[in-house]
Amino acid sequence: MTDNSSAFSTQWQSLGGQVYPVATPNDWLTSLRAVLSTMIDPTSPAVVGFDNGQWPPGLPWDAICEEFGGVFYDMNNLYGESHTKAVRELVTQAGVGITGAAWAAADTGTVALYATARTSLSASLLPPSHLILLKQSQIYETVTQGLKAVHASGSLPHLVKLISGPSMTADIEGQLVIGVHGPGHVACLIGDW
Amino acid sequence: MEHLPQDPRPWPVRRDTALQDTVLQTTLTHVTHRLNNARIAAYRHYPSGEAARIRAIARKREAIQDWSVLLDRAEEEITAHGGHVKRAATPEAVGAYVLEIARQHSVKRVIKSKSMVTEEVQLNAQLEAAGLDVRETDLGEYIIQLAHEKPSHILAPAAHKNRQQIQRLFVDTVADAGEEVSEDIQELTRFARNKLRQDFLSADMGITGGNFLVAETGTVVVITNEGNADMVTTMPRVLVSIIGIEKIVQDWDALEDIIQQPALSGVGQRLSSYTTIISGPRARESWEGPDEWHVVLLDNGRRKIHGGPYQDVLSCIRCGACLNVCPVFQQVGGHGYGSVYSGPIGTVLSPLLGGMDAFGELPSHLCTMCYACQEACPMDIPLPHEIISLRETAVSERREPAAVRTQYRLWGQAWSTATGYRRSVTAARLAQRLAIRRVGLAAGWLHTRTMPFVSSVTFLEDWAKKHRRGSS
Repeated sequence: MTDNSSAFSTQWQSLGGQVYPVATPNDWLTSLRAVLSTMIDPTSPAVVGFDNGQWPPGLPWDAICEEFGGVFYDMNNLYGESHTKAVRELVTQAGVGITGAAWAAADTGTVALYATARTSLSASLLPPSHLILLKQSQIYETVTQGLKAVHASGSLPHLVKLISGPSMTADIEGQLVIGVHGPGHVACLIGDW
Repeated sequence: MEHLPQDPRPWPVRRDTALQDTVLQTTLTHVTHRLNNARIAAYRHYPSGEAARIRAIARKREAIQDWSVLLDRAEEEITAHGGHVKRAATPEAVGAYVLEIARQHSVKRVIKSKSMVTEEVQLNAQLEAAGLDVRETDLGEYIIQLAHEKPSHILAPAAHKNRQQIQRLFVDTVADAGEEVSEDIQELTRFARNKLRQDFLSADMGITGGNFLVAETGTVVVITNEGNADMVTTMPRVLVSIIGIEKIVQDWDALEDIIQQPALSGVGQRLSSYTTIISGPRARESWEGPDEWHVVLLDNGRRKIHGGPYQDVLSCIRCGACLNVCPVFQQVGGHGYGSVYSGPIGTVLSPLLGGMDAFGELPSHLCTMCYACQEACPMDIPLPHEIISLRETAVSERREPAAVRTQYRLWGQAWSTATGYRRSVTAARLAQRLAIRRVGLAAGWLHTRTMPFVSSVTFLEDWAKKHRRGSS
């Protein structure tokens, strides 16, 4: 792992997230099975994935999800006028959302998502579990560098979400509870491909 | 409508209610100490956060100084990205604008993320009076909305309630008939999540506040830990962001320095769990986000503060650090202040926004001059200095009762000479012998305090006596 990857992992885990390092490109299958076995809940089996064209290629998503009682939906396969409505309905019922990321930052343990045609913010928000596929080269040392990248990209995305760990609250008696409105279970698969 | 809502109960009633509320005393102490310790630890282990804080102070002061130019720039940028900007001078102007947008879009249900400025303008009451269904989605705000109360802490609005009270509240207000509600905090949170999820999915309009407004790109930044602002900005078709004009920062460089400070100082995290950065309505190719985005820039008394002796208070980032260290706040909580803005920042801001007639008693009665807020404030706002200054104003405007003014004048005269001081000791001895500890300046003071009795022989008297004996 690079310095930025291991610093990110430490910070992300201290915030309550999980990290699954993928040592070599051949280890993707093993790591995916490890993380999805903890995330898929057969009572809400839908697993929605938003492959923005930058995911590791050739992974048998359907088979892995099926193995743990889940059903995989590739959002790029949903077309038509009712696309948005169909996506929203599916994401609303899903147990797991899988997304890539625009970038990540090690010092704050942050993952950034942009609203674009091929990414989903609600898949990171509505399901109880969120899995993020992260390339090591996407991890900056500081959140300041990441914010500079947002701004330097020329056309500013209309909506940017920075996620630093699971959804949490301490609104009742100051006691920390994980998973309020967003997911309580957030995991990053970090590797190269 | 007043500029700032005011609790009609007088201070002694608010104070005694808070001091006798055993639940509040327990929960508030726990919450404030936890947040305060987390803040200290967060900066100690994060030197770059401290360095950013120092830079952020200077940039924020400059942004406030130049806010006219920057607000114009922000408005141009937001409009250029397809957003709409409304400058609102008063609470009524905010309500009227939001209602007009709601009417245009046939909005029935509104979801909100936590926003102090909407508390300030009583937006929920204004929208509900027009028949809209408004739902607060921050867990703490949801609880106090159901209880028809005001926030007792900027960050933890329901810090004055315990789990048993919240369980009963849920049963009485939102639970279905026969639906079981557990007293377990985890279960209470899950219950609220399930109820609010329905509101998120069915709402037509989302309303957020804003932690920062970046002039350079017309960008609004909203931070939460629960993720509810992400829902509010992503799900409904119309989004309204209501922002006090003092939230302006110049550019992304300034944003990079200040963006971590609310979480570092407020809850001791390096960044809040969720940071939402909005720069426009949904882009044509994108499928998430609002079709329409409106930004309301609220004045409501802020321009009157600008250019005057209290201008630094406009740098406040509403982190709540000053509340958590304040010994008065720790005792009476937010409701003791009778204003939506409580703690040291509320003690300064409330009279400046809402007027000395309504809030002039706050600087005089709700500060011990311990300077803890000065040390805790990440923006280095000289709160104690400003409180003293407001006290001076209250005195010069003769706002204290005549009896109090007279007693302080006599006390001042008496203690300005050594003879007067000695006489006062003799008088105090006599007074306590006559058991008149419950009148004059001592009235009220001794309800909650024990004062040691004045010694029958003072040190000086004893010294004089021994000296005489020794010399004889």
